[in-house]
Amino acid sequence: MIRFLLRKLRLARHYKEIPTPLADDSLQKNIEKNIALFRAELGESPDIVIRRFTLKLKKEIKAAIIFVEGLMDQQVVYDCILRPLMLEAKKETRPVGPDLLGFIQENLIPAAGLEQENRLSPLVAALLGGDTVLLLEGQAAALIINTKNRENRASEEPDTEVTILGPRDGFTEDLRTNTALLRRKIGDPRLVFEQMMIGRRTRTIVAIAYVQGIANEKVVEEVRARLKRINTDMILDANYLREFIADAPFSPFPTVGFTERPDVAAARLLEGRVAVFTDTTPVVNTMPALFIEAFQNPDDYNTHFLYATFIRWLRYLAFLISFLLPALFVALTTYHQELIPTPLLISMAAAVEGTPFPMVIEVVAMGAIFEIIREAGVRLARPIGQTISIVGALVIGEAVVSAGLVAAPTVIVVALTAITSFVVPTQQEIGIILRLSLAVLAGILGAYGIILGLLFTLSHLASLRSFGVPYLSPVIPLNIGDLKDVAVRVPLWAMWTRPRVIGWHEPRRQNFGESAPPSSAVEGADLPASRKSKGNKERENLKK
Amino acid sequence: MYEESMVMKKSWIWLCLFLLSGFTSGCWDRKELETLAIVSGIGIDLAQDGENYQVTFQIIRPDAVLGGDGSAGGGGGGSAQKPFWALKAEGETIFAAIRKATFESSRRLFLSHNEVVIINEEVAQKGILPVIDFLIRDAEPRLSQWLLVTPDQAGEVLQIENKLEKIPAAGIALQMQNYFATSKVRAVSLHEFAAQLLEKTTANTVPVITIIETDGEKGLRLERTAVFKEDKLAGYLDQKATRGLLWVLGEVRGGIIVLDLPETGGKVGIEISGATAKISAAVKERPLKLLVEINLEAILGEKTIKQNLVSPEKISFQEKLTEEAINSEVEAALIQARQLGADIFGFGAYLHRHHPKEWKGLQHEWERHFRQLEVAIKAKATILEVGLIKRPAVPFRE
Repeated sequence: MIRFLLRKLRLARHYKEIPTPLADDSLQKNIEKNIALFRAELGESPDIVIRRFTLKLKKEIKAAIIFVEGLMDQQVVYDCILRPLMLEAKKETRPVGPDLLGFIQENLIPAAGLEQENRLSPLVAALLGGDTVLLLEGQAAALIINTKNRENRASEEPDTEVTILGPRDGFTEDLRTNTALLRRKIGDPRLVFEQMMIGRRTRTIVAIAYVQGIANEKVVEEVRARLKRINTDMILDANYLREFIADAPFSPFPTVGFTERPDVAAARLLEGRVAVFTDTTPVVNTMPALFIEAFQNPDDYNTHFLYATFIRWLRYLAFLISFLLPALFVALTTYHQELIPTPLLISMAAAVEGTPFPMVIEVVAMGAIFEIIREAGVRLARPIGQTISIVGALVIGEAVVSAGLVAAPTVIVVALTAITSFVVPTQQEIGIILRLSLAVLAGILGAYGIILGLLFTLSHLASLRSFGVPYLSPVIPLNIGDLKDVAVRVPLWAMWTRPRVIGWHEPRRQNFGESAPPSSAVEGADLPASRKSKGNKERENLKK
Repeated sequence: MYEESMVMKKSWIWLCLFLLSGFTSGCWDRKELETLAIVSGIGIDLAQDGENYQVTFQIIRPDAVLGGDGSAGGGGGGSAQKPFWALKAEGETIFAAIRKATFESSRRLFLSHNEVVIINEEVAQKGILPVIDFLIRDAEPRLSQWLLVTPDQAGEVLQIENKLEKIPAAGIALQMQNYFATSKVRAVSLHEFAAQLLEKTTANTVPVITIIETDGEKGLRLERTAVFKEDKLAGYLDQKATRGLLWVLGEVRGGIIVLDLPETGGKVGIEISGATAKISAAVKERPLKLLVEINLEAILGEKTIKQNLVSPEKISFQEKLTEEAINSEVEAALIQARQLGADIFGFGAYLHRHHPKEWKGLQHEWERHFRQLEVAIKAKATILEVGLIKRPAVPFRE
């Protein structure tokens, strides 16, 4: 049905051919004409600087550099371009061949990145990327000198994914910094970046990253194809990409994962996933995404596995509470009072006594009020945000009950739901939708409504796929081996295979049992020989 | 294209199924908490005219329950307010009476949390099937509610405040559940009563609750057991016979057996820690012979004399006395049951299950056979523990 609607929409939409750059925009030999070409392309914006000078080799040559003020690094422009060309070129004694640009490139400019180009559009693109363009009289080509300004905010721990232990670095807005952060995590040379430009007007640089040999080539190809299909004029954030390439564009569940943490990105790449970096945003998309990812916190792998397992189960419980509790509360208090233990029923009945609204309205309204308070707290500047939460919590929570507008159990339920919803932050958005709609269903049909809603949600979840991988795997379809990182978090030395649905290309992380508990060589030196382990004996053999 | 239209068709079907499922839910009944009168106890008496029923509902007042005796906070004031309200309604049937109760109640009666059904003696003598039919048939009342008989007015029983519990009916339910302290009361739920009613020959037994007065204050006490033949009250068992009955049923969970020691005149309290019963029958013989084997594990709980009673001989002597005590209790139950001609033990059901062929010949005249039944009792008591002290607390030289 959805597809049918989509098709209708597509028909209704008018396609306009996107203007392609002029076929012939080659530079000419005359420098003034070339500068005029740039001016025509870039306009008279004050941040575009054209600096003319004279290059003195054997004869004087008119020259000009063009750069965008602020995007380029002043120091580099001075050290690598202006100083050598204006001051040091005079002392040059080597013979200049017919290829003047080649000579300058090889001998005069000590910059890291240099490239010759004779067409205008790539030159402009480089210019707007922070490079400097060098034009020379009599040359129908120009040099692109890498003078990109790498100044950026320092890598900080992201607010959205905080860990107690573990690394404190986070991705920044700069693509190169981000890829460097990832390179530092993964030393494997087979970590590959592929770059492309998306967004006709924003010309955002997007980089696909994957580890060759681990990542499924077909998934990489699919990511590439989907990214190439994007035909829009702006990509401002990773979510722009996410919405364009998600498998189920209408589903509220995220079928593309994302993270701001290099360690999480590295772990996902090494499980066989593909990452997509977007320039100017610290969020990195990863795919395929599984539902279970929301519950796998980086801290799970930084703490003891027993504790991690325990916490993970608490997280499951909190998630269940966060979307089921209000609905169950409504269903029990308006339809199935017989299911509430008598003493609890009596105290709830006493609390409800005299409140004016039906239970559904109480729960939905309080839920909505909470979301408003939360939203206000997020949008406002931090210090004011705290005030908002205090006002929300104390004034509304307290006053509403004492005024007899809302029953105290409702406030307790909503508050508990609110707290638990923050335990699984990546599924929080869907949590809100699910929570309120289930509560309304429960208000109409009781527990039957909850079951219907859950059934619908579950069948939707089971039908979802993310880049070919079932969204609910490894639970549906069941893969018992992979429950090692779902039902429990086994010790890392026992986590010897990658998740099968994603990393089946090269499933083995380490040999099974190889890194299992240390041999007794360390402590068992004075044990009787029969009890010494094999490893110990080998060690002794080595000594001989 | 073909594939897409298939997908579309499929999703339409799914959508229809989903919408349909919303209408196939059976009873649909939204009832806000504050519109319910939670009933905790039902009492059934005969009305003045002797035909209709007068039904008393003990309705919980939630804020009065929580508010306590005007202590901190609460619903404000109203310390005189009872935590419950006894609402009376008359009707030709129970259901009619429940509906008539709405003339007086602002809220709909909610029966799911009802804990006790108290039936007046006169109603019980007329037969309680018309009374309990609604309670079993309707979806709201539970089968786990306790059934009791009272020689007093059931309506009055439900008005007596419990000394400890805020809700008197809950107090009665807890009193019933304390049966294992003595094993002299048999707690019977509506479900058990109905199940035994189906067994045709087995007579139902239901505890009796009476109003007592101590120090000018009224209270409730469980005593005796009412015996029903089919659904009609036939007579009563005393407490001794009640435990006799429980021995045979294997339902003794605890309690004290007080032994009179010969010669010294002292008394010993034996605490029951567990008992099992096994019935076997010699079906070929006439009159029928049944053997009831009772196995008891017990603890020496107290004694009133100085002598040391902890020695193998003395323990086995006490065990013998215990066995005799059990025998006499079962005997009492047998005698009273024979007098009433009521097979309270379920011997008929036992024969039906284990000797179906012979049962065919017996079932038509089972009451006659039951009166002539020879029941041999073989009790075996074992004292396993003697408490925390082995010797007497006071030194004594023999």
